[in-house]
Amino acid sequence: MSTSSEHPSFDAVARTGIDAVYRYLVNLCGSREDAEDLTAQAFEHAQRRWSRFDPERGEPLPWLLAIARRVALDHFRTEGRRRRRERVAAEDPALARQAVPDPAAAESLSPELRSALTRLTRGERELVALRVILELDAAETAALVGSTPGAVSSGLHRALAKLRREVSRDRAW
Amino acid sequence: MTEPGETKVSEERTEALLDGAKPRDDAERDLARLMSEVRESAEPAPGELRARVGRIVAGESSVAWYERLWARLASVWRPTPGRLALGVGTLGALALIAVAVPVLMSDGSSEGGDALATVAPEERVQDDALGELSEPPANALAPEPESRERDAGSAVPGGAPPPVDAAAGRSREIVTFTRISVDGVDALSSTTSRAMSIARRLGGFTESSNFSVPNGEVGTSVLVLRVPTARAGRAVEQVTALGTVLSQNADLTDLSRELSRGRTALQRSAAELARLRRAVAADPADAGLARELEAAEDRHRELTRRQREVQRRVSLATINLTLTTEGPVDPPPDGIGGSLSTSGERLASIGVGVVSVVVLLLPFALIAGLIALGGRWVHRRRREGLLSRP
Repeated sequence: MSTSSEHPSFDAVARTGIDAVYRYLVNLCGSREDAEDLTAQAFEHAQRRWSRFDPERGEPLPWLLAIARRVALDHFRTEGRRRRRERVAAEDPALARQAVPDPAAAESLSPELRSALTRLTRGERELVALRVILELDAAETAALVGSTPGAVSSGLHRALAKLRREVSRDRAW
Repeated sequence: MTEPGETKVSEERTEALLDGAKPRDDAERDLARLMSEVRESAEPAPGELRARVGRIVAGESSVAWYERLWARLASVWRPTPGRLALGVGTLGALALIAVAVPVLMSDGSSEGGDALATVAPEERVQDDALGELSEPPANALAPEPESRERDAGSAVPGGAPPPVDAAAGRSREIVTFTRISVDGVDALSSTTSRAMSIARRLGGFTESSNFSVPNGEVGTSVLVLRVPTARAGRAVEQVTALGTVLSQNADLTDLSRELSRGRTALQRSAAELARLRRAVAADPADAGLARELEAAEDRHRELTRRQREVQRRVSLATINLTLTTEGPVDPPPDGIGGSLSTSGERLASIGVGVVSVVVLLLPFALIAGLIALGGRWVHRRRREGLLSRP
């Protein structure tokens, strides 16, 4: 990402930021398919608002992630209606054959870790994605999620402790 | 909660491990391995998604146009707390401005000196002593079109009174309006008496008077004086000298033609009456003649009444006099001092106006602020709720 105060091109920002946004949304949503759709939506929103981005106020990546987060939260808000539609679809044998479970976790993950991640809440997975995967610092993460650096550190600590615990439990089984 | 046998890693050490610090014990090594595994397992965006985003960047939207339009409308019309607060605040502000501005503007100073005395004359008292038909002045000229003159007198104290002398050979109705300032309630009373004396001395009378001192400090005396028209000029001159003139004007109406027409009509009516009386005397049994005579007598009486009224109007001038304890408005000082004084007053009134508007807007601003804060709190709680699910 460009660190200069000049307004970078959206094309360059999209190329370098797409992986980060996708990884963030995969962890947040828990579904690859949803993450792909939401990533596309996020970039669509970002393109419309690109003229409002002020490079002097921060890097493009946190700005993109903030948009992606809003898109994801809107998606979660409409989750109830979506789940009802999916239930209806599941009751239809013809449609049920088309529905394929799409675990978000990568194949390279151990089964215990993959399972443990699904037991974290969205908020906990979000912190893991932002701090561990995308390596944002506490201040940037706090600004993104609307919290304080201290709360972000505590939240991440609890999420990782929980993850460790779940993994240990699964291994014990 | 920690499982039996599991050692905890502190929050500080977790942060340190994130920053790349070396693990110090098994627990930290375990955590570091976990974080590393999570980090390395993160997949890049699939090719299809890259292509899709590439199309978006190139300007091709992946969302149908109607979905984009709907999303746009929904974002505009969705009543978020911020928009609600802004709406309430704006409406409240507009309503208050619409009410406050006219009220504040109406405090503008009214300029004295230009006020006209608009005393509605009281109902004229019938004066039978002057009700006789009278011949016009001996040197009456031929009838001329009725004319009306109006002279706005001087509004500045000490100005000359308007000319109201009766023109030779003309029959004119003279009505004047004068507003005079006197110094105090005591002077108001004595000046009222003097004005009435002036009318008496000039052969006239006081048709009506109204003396009012509502609170002992300010007062008004409204007089309607009637003086012979030929002495109207003197009456105005003497009345003007009673105090400081605030305003003065005079209405002069030439009624010569009207009088002349009235005389002619009366003469014709009298001749007709005489003829009918002779006819009735010659034939008393003729009922038709008797009715005709009665009608002619009614008409003659009406003509007589009208002519007397016009006579009265031109015989006596009406001097409407308002005495008041309110003083004249001081003219603004000249020069820089005057400009500064005026500017200072204007700034002060603007300042008062701004403070008033701010004070009036404050409750609405508070309500809008509370709505915004409440909305943000609700919004935050909802968001936390969404993220607390697996």
